[in-house]
Amino acid sequence: MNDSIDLQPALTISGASCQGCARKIRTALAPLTGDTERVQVNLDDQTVALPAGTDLAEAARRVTEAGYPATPISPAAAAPAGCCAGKKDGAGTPGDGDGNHREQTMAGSTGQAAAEDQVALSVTGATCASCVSTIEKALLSVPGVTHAHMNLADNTATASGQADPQALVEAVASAGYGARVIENADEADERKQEQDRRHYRVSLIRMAASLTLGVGLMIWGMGFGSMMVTEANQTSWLALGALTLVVMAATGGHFFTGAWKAFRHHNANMDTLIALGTGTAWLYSMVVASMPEALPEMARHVYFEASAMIIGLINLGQALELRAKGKTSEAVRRLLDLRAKTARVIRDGEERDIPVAEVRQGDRIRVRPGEKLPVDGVIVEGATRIDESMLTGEPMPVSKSTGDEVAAGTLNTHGAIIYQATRVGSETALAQIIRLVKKAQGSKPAIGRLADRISAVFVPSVMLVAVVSALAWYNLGPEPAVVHMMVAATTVLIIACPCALGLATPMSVMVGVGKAAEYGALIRQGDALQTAGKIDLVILDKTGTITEGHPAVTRVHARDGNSQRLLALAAGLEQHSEHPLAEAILGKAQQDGVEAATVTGFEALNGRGVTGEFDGRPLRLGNRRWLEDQGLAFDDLDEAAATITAEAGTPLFLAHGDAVLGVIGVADAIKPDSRAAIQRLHDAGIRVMMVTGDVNATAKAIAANAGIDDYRAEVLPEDKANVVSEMRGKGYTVAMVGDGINDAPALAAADVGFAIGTGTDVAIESAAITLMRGSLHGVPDAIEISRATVKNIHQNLFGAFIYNTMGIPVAAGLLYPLWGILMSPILAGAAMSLSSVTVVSNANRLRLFRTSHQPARNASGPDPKPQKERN
Amino acid sequence: METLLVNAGGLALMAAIVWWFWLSGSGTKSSGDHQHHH
Repeated sequence: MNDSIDLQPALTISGASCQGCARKIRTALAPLTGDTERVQVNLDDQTVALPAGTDLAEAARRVTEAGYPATPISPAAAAPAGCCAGKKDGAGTPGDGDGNHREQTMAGSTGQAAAEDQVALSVTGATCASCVSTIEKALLSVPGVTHAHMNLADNTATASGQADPQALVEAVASAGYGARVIENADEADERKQEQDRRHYRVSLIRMAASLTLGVGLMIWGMGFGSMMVTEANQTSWLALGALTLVVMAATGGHFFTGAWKAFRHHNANMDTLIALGTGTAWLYSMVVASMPEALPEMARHVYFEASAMIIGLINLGQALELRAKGKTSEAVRRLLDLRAKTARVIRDGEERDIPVAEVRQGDRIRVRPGEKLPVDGVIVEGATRIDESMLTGEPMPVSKSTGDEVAAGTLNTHGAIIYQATRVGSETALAQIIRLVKKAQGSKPAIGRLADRISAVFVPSVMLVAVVSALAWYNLGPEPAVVHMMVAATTVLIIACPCALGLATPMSVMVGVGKAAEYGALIRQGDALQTAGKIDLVILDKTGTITEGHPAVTRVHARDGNSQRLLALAAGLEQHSEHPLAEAILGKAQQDGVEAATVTGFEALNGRGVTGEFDGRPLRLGNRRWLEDQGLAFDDLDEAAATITAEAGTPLFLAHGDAVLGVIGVADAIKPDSRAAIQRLHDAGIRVMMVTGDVNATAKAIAANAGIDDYRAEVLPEDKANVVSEMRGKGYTVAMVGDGINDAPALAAADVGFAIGTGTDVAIESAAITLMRGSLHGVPDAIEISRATVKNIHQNLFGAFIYNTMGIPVAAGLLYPLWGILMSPILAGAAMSLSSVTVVSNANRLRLFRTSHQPARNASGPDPKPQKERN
Repeated sequence: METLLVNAGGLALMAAIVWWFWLSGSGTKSSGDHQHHH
């Protein structure tokens, strides 16, 4: 991944989640490396690569001071496999500055520690925001873990660093939760689904058992007898108390064990509140039932039915929540369903169907019309049209023939083809997309982290509020004070459960990221999802973003009228280049039957042109500014150049020696939907700006045609990032949209970088969002989805906060002095369950979201399976 | 007497909650160590 030769992974860091962090780290290290360019921050792996010989201890100190705890990576772990094996018994190579350090760390290495790695765990028993922080804390306490993250929406936790997976499992287990290392993601998915289904059934059975008892007792109390303990019914109440205990243990035992485990680790969570609430009610009732005479007559009331009903309602809430949670991960499931099960492989001239897992790189695979492609590859025989809509959102099937790349999961609609596998298993574009979507779904935007921090102190605070309200009722309340204090404390504990708070963000993120994937926008981080909604300036790269990116020659104007020669010389130069403009010139030469001249000493000058040697004299093809800077004059070509630019073309001047021979016009057509997409951005109140290396007149023509507000022409690729920084400095929240390769610095400098991919090119590292479809519509789509998701998160958080802030005072009895209202603990249990169900349902509402452009193709995709699934 | 006992018990309980969850052991202190920004 690290393409700079002299940079190697040197530090593991934690907490760096966006390009802003990366910038801070680069700045912190610049004094050590001499230049921010010599520091590479990898946010995915949470590592920093530095030039060899950098003082790693000092570097780690600086990064830690910048706010990102860092540790030097042991070279034994960081070096490529095999490179150190031969050196095991030799001390550091002479002249190797950190030879000693290397030796020590190698000796200390157990061999088990891998390079900065991520271990994914499937976690059970986590129910609320407090659990999230407890689990993250437990993981961070394991030596070697640099970063830990728990996702409540799909109950997985990931730990980055060099820890032993078993130690991670034990840490989570000792914090009171179940954990298992996820080795095979597919298997884990299936296991989790099965687990969820079982959990759902168990929750329903528990609910039925406890509600039967609770409702039974309530009916008894209201209709046939009373809930007051008298001498006559004392024995019956004691027996019922014992029965309630049995039912509570059987249907709500998990709340009590969870609470106890959390308590032992000085933590409190949702289980704590439920256990305390129902436990208090039961214990009080048992005291009443066993020695009623010790209490005033009015206080001899039992609350066994409350304990049973609360546990029943919470079990019901959890069952409903599980059901709704299953629906949010539908986007990933739909992608998983795209995978073919078998492949028809031709080996040794023999065709046979084998499971897709057994397909090897280099295998030749036959695909008939109507079949799904099992792996990525290149067509070697035949031609067809391939429906890639499931991956790119592009509705029209794409024509493919020999030499073209095809991707796993796409559908062969037309002809039979044979293709050679280039990427199999987890390497396919589809597998990468699934990984990216899952990872982004699990990531937490800043807003979610705030909720987590609040809820970590929330539960103990609620316990304090419960005691305070109990004391207030005891001292100030009416008789029977003991009953009132018990009811108020129980109700406060039950109603305050922060489960809705914990679910608010991850649920919406999961649906939002899945929704974006449906529209062909891959969001890499939760932060990008949040920031994209705030964008008020979109900067567009021109070539390949607004335009097709396949320029064509529009005009060849030779000073001496010999346009064939002009084209031959230009083609001679450009045949060495890979620039899109070169393709256009070579295409034109080929089309006109012109043979390219033999040019030597080729050199490409980024943003200026190309140069070489022909006939002993320098041959230069490039823009006006460059050639004029070289002292050449060609005023007589002004008119031809003006015509070219007026047609939104780029004039390229060709000079041989000191003589300018002529000008070639190359124009890149605007994509048919660019204008509409830009209009959508305007409609959303966003300013649109274009940066291009083209001359002013060309840029102006394109800006006018595409409906762009503002443009910057003659910008060198390396200066695009400066334009982005400048606009951010003016207070804009900037999105940069580019093709992801030469725009990488600008994409990284923007608040949100959008890389326009070509179909399956998903592994674009520098962009926060990758658009799989070549269309600009992906930008407004992503922004609209982001806005809808953030709005959804706000609604959820607002709802959860309001519920808790309103619920607690009412439960504590604040309304009693005014209107005599005191909430029953049973109602509190129902309200609590309802709040989680509301949050989850609201997040699910996001699944129905449609952007202003067109319905997502995947939602009604051509793949029959997902449709069946929804029935 | 009873009032005094109940109130003292309540205050002691609150002190215990504060001590157990905030002041002793790993508690919530370490949540601050978890690096977050923005």
